[in-house]
Amino acid sequence: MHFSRSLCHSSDVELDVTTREESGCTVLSVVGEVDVFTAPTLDEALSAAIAGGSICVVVDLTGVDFLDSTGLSVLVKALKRVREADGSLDVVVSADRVAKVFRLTGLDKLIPLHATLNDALGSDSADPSQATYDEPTEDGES
Amino acid sequence: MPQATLSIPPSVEHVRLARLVAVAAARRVGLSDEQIDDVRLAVGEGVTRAVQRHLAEHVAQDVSLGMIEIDDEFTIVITDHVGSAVPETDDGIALALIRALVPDVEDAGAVLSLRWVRSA
Repeated sequence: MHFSRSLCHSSDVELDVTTREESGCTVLSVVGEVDVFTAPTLDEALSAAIAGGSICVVVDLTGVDFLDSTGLSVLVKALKRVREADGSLDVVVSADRVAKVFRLTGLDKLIPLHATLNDALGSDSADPSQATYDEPTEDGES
Repeated sequence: MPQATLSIPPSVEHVRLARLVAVAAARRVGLSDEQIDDVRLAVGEGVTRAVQRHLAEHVAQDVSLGMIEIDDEFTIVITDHVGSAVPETDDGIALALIRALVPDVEDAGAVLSLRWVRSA
């Protein structure tokens, strides 16, 4: 399943979400920037996955270079819904600038963070404090 | 005292433009890469808050972003046209993030000032 959002007069997609099943979990691969304009696309994709019965959800933010509090709110809302079904929601983060948003808000203690998708899929007990993050490789938005 | 101002319509699709301009200004005045990342996120949060205040109160005027450089200080002033008494439209995370990211914050509701000092 595929969700995306872009400015109507631009060919640049600002957020792209692709959903697939892998190792018994629903993996949402997110590419782009998650902000007040694009967060509804992520919300839509997560809602569709959860409504479809997924109780193991992994949100892969490896392709995300910007995420703000509206993106966090979408993830927290999804976390509440999967936990109501005794499920789990894990997040994969590779960019330190994105991981920093979780740390500053304390959400890294609520949502398990992983440095790689394999970590997220391979271990229920992965310790997010042991995750290593790549330094940002670019210094600006494109 | 170099100064620049950007005005954007109160719509969510324009928040990214404000981030891009603020980041370009921060880079031009010589903030560090880490400070530039903080500018990107803090301005995004501040402008999002201003736009949401406009949308909640049906205020059509532009939101403005002022960027001022004085000596080693770089200040961004986000101004909306909604009365300060209007209740916040977010859950407080945005302001908490801003306060964690920005060394010097002045929040007067309709006017939010964010100040950084250029690293030596």
